[in-house]
Amino acid sequence: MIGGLFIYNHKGEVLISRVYRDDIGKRALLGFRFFHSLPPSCRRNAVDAFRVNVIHARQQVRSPVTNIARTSFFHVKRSNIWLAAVTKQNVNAAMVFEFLYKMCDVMAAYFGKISEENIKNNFVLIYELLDEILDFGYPQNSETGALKTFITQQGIKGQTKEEQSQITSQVTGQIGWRREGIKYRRNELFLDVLESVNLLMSPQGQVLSAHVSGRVVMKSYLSGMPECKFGMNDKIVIDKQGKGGAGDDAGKSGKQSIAIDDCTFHQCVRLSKFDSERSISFIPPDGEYELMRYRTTKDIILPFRVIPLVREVGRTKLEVKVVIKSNFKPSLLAQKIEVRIPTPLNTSGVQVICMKGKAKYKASENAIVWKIKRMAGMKESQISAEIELLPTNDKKKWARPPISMNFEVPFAPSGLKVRYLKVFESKLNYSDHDVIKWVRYIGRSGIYETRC
Amino acid sequence: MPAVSKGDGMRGLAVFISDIRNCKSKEAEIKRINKELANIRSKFKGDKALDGYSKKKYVCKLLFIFLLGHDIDFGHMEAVNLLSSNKYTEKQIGYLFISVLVNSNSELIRLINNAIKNDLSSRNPTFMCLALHCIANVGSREMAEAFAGEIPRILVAGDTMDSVKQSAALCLLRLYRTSPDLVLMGEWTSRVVHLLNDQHMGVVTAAISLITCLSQKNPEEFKTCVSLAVSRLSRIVSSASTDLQDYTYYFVPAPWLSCKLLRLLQCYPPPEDGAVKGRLVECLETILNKAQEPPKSKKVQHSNAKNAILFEAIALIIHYDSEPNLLVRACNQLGQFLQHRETNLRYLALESMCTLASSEFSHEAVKTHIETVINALKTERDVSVRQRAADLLYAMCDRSNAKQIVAEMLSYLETADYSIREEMVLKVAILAEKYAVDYSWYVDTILNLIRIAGDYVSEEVWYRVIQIVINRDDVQGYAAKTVFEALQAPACHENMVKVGGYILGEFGNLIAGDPRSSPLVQFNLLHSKFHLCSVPTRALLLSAYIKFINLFPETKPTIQEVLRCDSQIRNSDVELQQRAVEYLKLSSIASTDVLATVLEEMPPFPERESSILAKLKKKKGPGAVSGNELEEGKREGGELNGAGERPGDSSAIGASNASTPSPSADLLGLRSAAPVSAAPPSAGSLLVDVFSEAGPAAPAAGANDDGFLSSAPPSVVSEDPAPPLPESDELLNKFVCKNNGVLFENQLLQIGVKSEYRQNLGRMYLFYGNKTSVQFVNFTTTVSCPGELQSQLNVQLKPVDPLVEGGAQVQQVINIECLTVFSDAPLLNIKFRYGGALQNLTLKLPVAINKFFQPTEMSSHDFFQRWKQLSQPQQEAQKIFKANHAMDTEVLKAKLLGLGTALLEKVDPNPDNFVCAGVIQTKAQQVGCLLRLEPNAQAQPGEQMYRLTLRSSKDTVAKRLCELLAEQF
Repeated sequence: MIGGLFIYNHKGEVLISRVYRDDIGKRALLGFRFFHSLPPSCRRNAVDAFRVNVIHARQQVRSPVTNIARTSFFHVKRSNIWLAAVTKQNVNAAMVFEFLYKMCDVMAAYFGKISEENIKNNFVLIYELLDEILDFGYPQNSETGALKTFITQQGIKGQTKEEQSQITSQVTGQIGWRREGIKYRRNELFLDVLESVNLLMSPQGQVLSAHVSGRVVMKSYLSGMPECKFGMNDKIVIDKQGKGGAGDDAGKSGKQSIAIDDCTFHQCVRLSKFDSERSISFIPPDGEYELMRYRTTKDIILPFRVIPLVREVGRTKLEVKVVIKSNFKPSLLAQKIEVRIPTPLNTSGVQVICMKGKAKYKASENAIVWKIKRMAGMKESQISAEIELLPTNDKKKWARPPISMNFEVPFAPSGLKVRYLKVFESKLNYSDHDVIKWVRYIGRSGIYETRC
Repeated sequence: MPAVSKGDGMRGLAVFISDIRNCKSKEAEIKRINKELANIRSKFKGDKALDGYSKKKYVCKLLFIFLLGHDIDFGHMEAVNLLSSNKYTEKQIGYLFISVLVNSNSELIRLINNAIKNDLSSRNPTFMCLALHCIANVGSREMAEAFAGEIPRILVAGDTMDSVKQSAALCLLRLYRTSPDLVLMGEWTSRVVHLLNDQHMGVVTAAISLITCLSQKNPEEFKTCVSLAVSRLSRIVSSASTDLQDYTYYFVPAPWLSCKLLRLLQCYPPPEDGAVKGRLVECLETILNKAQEPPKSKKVQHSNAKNAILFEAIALIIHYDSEPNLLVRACNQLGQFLQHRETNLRYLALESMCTLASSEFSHEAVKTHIETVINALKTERDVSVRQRAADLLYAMCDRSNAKQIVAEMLSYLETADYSIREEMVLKVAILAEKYAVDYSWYVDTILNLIRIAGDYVSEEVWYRVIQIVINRDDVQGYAAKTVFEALQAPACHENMVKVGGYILGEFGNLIAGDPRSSPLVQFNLLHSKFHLCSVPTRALLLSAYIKFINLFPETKPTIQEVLRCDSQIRNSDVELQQRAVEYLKLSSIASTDVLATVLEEMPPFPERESSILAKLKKKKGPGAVSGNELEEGKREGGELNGAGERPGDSSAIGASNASTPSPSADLLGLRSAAPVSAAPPSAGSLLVDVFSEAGPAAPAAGANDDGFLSSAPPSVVSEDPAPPLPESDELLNKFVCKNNGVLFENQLLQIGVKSEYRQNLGRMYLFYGNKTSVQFVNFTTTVSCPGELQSQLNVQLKPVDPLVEGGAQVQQVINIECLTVFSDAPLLNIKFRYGGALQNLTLKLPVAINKFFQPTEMSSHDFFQRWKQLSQPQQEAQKIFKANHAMDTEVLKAKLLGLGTALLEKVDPNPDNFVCAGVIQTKAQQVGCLLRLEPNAQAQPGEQMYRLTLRSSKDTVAKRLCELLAEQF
């Protein structure tokens, strides 16, 4: 039960304030007697408490959940905008964050980037949305597609009675995410497998921790109420089939299948069917949505390997050499590669030499940033830098933060493959073959770090 | 002082600051700062030397970044270089950086000190001032060491400029405050005092601050300043407002200087020299006269300055407390301020009057303002002013106006602020008691108090009512009637129930004649509140019920029924259950005579200082009351608590206490047996109950098993029956025969010990109490076992919080396992920082081999048989020594029991001898031990001797125990 939702700009000014429950930040409700026993910071209401204790805190607040005077603040930050959900009760924190992320998605779907300007321009709309997606602090329908049918940015078109009743039946009905009577001339499906790969590696090249978190995002333009079935190389499914089917195939399929550690689905997926036969079948919403999220930790293909070499020459000089090796099929091209090499805090000058791409010392970030536009598989590239240091009184040794990396590769590092996506629509006369399907794999770096 | 010209402004700095100001977010700011830092680093690193201007600019930027809250770890060297510049602005920035960012880096400090020394001897006044300011701003010990000798010379030198003198005086003051031991005035004293005669008022103002501080520490040396101060004051006071030109502030001549002079005079008693005194009185009269004059200006600054002098003068008059005329005039003046529309003035007037009220000369004069003050209490808007009004009412109260004031305070209490309620309650209770002529009035007042502000009535208050009611026969009937009526209110406070239960239990018979308050009605009334009360109150009510059975035999069946019901006799609370069981048995088995004896009326309490006063003192300020007093207050409360709830009479407690100072093991046995073997009418059960209540009175008993004896307060140590041992380094001796106590105490820290042992395992709780108001940081403790002890004793220390707040106490648990026999004690090392200074002390943990004794009971025959078995010379240790303390049999017994052995009665043929037996439990082995102590009591006091013989199966044990014990008797 979220007590209230506030949106702040970077200065801590409140842009949007929507209170759902009276228990937060109302002076009068605290009770006079209690009021005096509270520390001064919480005598002000919740809005100010968050500003003072989080946004303007002396020490940067890193925890997304802050507890001030028995009131919990859950916040997410989008560029310079803070979204904070406030509650006095013991709520499920994951639920609150899920809601906040959803809220960001909904706002982005309505007016694009979340910025102070956009929020100010659309504040009426935001209040309208907040009224709709939260009731008395309980999250309701946050499906953008459904919301767009009755909350619009244009002037209100006179809706006929039928239309209104249709919206009502859709929103309150069993399939709240799709309305009836959708028609497309071309039935099309776009399927994106987006993965981010996270890695922490020791200087010797030992993997300390690695996991992939992925999402399957779909865009569907299908007529009627189609029933879809999605298949991928999930180890459990493949093994099951392998046992029932040809025995000689088992070894091969074992290599190709992946073990999924955990996954979550969009509400349209029939969970009972997934539980019983592990098949993913659903009636898709119209437009863009996230079908599933998953995480894998085994047999991850690490697209890049970073080999650092740091040598301290006396007290005033540091030599750094970093080699990156790409580790995938030579026919594929990685893009937007960026290597960030941290420099000590007492750096007074840097000379960089690199074979490929561009490298620059960014004093404001205390790092050397090396950018390469494109790089094919099974290649390697190298950078070397000479860092001059200023001797300081400080006895503390430099902590040597890890070298981090960003990139984008056109395959799924987890090894996930889409095996099929079948569409059945019995009432309308189009079949699975008539649907045009597009599949794309994108692997990005999450926190991809190598210690040096 | 050269002004900063426009060309000197630093454009780069201005741009940087405006960049930072324009940053949209914290991240942007950090980025900008990182960039700037990298730039400065490259500049400082650069090969070509920087000129003064850019050095100054970069140092300034670093300073700004530091002030924004970022760490700066370079640039110190550049700042020190700036000090040697000849340009004022560069020098200034250098000093600024150093005073803000200096750390005790040895090499740098030497350079800085050198630069300061150069400037001090430069004879350029601005440079000297800069150097002095830097010393004062840093004020570290190193600085004091280097310059404490130099500065007084500058201060009194004839050729020093006035502005430098001012700085020097203030700098010296600062150094004196931080390290008084380094600033030795000695030969300079008289010349410093004569600065009061200086022509330059600024110098006088600065010097007087220094002199005030110095004379507070050693008044004798600076005594001569009094006459000088008086003459200076009279010159200022009598001067026309235009005489002092620059130092006249809104028509008031030199107000700051006057205030400081008056404050200096408050450090000394009235001057003895008649002429000086006459002059001073004249001055004070002039000041009081001036207050009556119409203001020369309507500006608030004028009246502020005038009033500041006036209040200081009044403070001085109160301090002298010898001029009735002046005191009364001051009082009248303050009376005028009481109705002033300035809130601050009213506050100050009330505060000053409070002190005036305590003077015999002005007490009457203060009393004339009672109406105004009462009015202030009711109508004042500001809570702090109301508080002062309440204080003043308390101070001006005496026998003549007590009733009025108490009534007013009571009526105010209903609307009073929550923050001052508890204090008000205490004050009302004290006043009511102190000035009570008519005790029925007192009872009424206190009951009213409980009714109005029950939550804020502390235990002490209601204990006191009961004490007074019990000690005064004439109010008992009235009190019973009043509480009976008060209890009839539908909702009454628990404290009221407590008072009611107690008083009706004692004196219910005095009102039982009235059919409206017949015994059964009384009982039903009390019992109707029973279920709403907390456990201690219920326990008290149960005691009241048993007293009812004694007072009114007709209520017996009803009360027995109540006691017998499951909610009492099977109550989950041990205390309640025990009371119910015992009282039920007592009432059904004992004859009326026994009942009447056991449940006799409480004897009068001994007269003593009101415990409430102690409580008020405690509340008023932790600084004012020493820990000792506090503890006394607490103990008194505890005793009273015991007294308030004990069912038997106190003589019984005394007797049983004296006859059986048994260790808790025995007590426990008795306790568990009591309900079953309650056949002998009352003695058994009563004894047990008495013991559980009489914690404070039986220190030996409450030793080991505090968990079980829940009502024994932990602070039983201080009442040790033995006379206190002289402070010796051998702390162990103090703890040989007892397990709890204060291990160590100095002005910063108090360490208390509580320990318990079972077989070869022990657990010790150390309580570290911070006696100061400043927190201790980096508080760490370690235990080390020197030498072979390491293999003999296994000591584990639970970590302790590194931060000990002022006045707080932290607890540490130490687990001890005895592996084998040992003789040394482990060392406890404590380190912490108090106000920056590292404190380090090492103590011996009070663990000796005897702590692991298990008592063994044996017959005379067995004992001597074993005694003979252990007859080899190395198995015996004997010592003959002089008695350190009087030979009191009971004390000796208690000590031997505290040792951990079993005291065997009727074993030795000579009844004067003491014989003990026990087994020392270690992990590796068990060592039997026999002890014999033979006193020769017949000898003269002072010549009394003991012979102590110990036999043990292991020779080292006998020797060690002998050493330990010889110190005890």
